[in-house]
Order: sequence, then C-alpha cells, then structure tokens
Amino acid sequence: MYIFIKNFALSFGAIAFFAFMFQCPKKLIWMCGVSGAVAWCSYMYASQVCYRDTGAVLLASMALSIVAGIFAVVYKKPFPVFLATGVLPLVPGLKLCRGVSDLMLENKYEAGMKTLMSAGSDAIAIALGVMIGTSIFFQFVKMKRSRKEKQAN
Amino acid sequence: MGKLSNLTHDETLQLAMQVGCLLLENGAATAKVEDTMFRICHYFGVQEVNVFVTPTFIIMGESVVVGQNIIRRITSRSTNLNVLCKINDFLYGIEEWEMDYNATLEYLKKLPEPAYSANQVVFLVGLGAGMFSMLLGGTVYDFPATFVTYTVTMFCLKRLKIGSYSSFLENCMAGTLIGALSALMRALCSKCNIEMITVGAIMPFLPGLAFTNGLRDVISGNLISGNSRVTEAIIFAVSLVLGLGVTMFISLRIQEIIGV
Repeated sequence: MYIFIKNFALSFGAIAFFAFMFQCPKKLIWMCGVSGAVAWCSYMYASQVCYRDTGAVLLASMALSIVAGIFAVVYKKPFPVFLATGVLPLVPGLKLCRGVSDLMLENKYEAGMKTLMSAGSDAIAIALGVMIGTSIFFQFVKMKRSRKEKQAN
Repeated sequence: MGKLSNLTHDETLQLAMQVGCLLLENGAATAKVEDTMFRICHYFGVQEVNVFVTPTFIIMGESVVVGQNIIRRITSRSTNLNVLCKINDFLYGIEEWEMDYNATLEYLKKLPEPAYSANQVVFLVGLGAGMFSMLLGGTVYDFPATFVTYTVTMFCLKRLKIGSYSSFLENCMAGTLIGALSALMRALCSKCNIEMITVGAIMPFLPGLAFTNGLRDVISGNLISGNSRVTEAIIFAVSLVLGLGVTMFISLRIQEIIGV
C-alpha cells in the first residue's frame, strides 16, 4: 500500500509539472495529474498481475483513455488535453535509453535490439490501447445520449 | 443569435481556415481538424466543401466546378493545450459569440501567446523530470541531479538557438548535453544513477504524443498525415538517442582512461 501511494503521488506530481510544458490551463492541471497517475498505477498493477510488459501498457492506455474521456465529458474540454499529458508515463523512455546504451556502449547487439523492439511494441500498444479505449468510451456516451433522447421523446 | 451569424461566403472559408490552422499548429489530430472545419462551414451555410489536412499544409476548396480554394502552409507544430481549450470554448459558444468577424479573427490570431513564461516552464518541468526519475526507480539523490541536468540543457539550447535551423539538430544537441551532464553528475556524486538521470531528463523531449497521434491517424484512415507524423516522431527519437549515445560513449572512454 505504501508503494502504491508513493507511486501515485510521484506520478501525479511529475505529470502535473509536465503539463506546464504543454501550456495547460491552470484549472485543468490537477486533472492532468490524475490522468497521468491513473495511467502509471494501472500500468504497475497490470504488469504485476499479468507479467507481460506490452500487454500492461495496452491495458494502462485503455484505462487512461477512458479516464480522459470521462474528464473531457465532465469538464467539457477537448479530449487531447488529458490524453497528451496522461500518456507521458507510458512512453518507453527507459527502454529506449537501455537499448541504446546496450547497443553503443557494451556491444550487446542482441540485448539492445530486443530492448529497442520492445520499446517499439510498447509505443504501438499505446496507440492501439488509446484507439480501443476511446472507441469504447465514446460509443458508450453515444448510447447513453440516444437513450436519453428516446426517453425525452 | 450572436454577432457571428451573417457571414459571407468568403468570410466563412477564411474563418474555418484560421481555426483549422490554429488547431493543427497546436497539436490536434488530423481527423479532428477536418471535422471542425467541416462543421464551421456547414454551420454558416457553405455545404459543398472539401478539406485535405496534412501536417505541413491545409487545402480547402469547394467541390464545384468554379469554386474558391484556400491553401495554408504550416511550418511549425507544437502542443499548446491552452489554444485547444479556447477554440473548443469558441466552437461550443458560437451561437452566443460576442465579437464580430474582424474582432474574432484578431482574437484567434492572439491565442497562441504562451500563458506561462519560458523560465517558469523550464523550472516547473525540471521539477517534473526529477520526480519522473524517482518514479522510474531512482533515489532521492537523483531528483536534484535530474533537475539540474534538465534546466542546464534547456538553458544551453535556448542560448544556442539551433532550433531555428533544424529541429533534428536541436534534438541531437539535447541528447548530447543530457548525456554529458548526467555523466558529470555521476562524477560529482557517486550515489547518483546515470540511467535514471538520463531517463528523467530525456522524458520531456521524447515525441510520445506525436507518435501516438500518428498511429491513430493511420488507423483512422488519414494515411498521408499519419505516415508523416510517425516518421517525424521516429526521426526525433533517433536523433535524441544518437546524441545521447555519442556522449555516453565518450564519457565511458574518458572514465576508462582516467581510471575512475
């Protein structure tokens, strides 16, 4: 539990500060931090449960896009505001650095290429997860709206 | 109805073009830009319109034999969420909009002015980078090291002004500086971890959103813009990593020669 709280706080702070880089409006910075923290914590949880990194990234980006969609609907702001900041903790920066240092410094070509490949597959997993999550969420919103309109008629 | 109700044909096209340019320059997805421009045109009664959006230019024209066309070239792209929010508010409140056409164009032109000053942004993002290095497994010692690395790198990049020549070179330079400074930090304090410092400081430069947006474009059918966005993101990442690798290599050799 302690680790979870520490991770949540750190990812919240990091993403809230990173949101300034994108000139995010002041009111929305808290929400950006929450979406980043949700992405990172669901990634941690998923990677502990299913032990597969790329799958965990896929699940985390799906969770992120659903949370971002909820914020976008509640606060009536464009969807990319929460997505752009929330996706940062999932970007495979660590793998990129490790792969390059393996390739260029230690002549471990096999390990380096493996790491770089997994970084690439992580990036594709983010895009796929966001696609799936947004389509599920906005389909759900559409269904709700049409049901409400039917009831009103 | 607000003041923006009786626009002429030309004014409608001009307004739609301005909004589309702003959206594209500030980090919206291609499909969203096209959709917004269509909606503006339809709202003001221009029905036969086609829009073609790529990351470097927008073509908008009427799909009739004798029609008007507008082309705009887009030279710089960044992510500015403030502009996206403001334009979103403008589009939702277009029925009760208080300004007339000319005032609206002026308002839209002034939108991209940054809300925070450059120094403020560097300081805050530096704090974020420090937190990020701790998040990925660094210790408390990595926090100030990453902060210093990022801020000094940004300071040098601003002074050198390479970005105006080529963004590839700028990213390469950023990677080089981060590599050198993280090695320096490791030399100053033995409890720091080079990998964590590098990752934390490199995070704000990585084109994560650009890559994701590009893949989303490809999946949703905007093949040309998707392809070019993905290529741009890959080239940025490669240039960053190239610069990083060079200085990591050099610093390792220096350490071997000195025998630290």
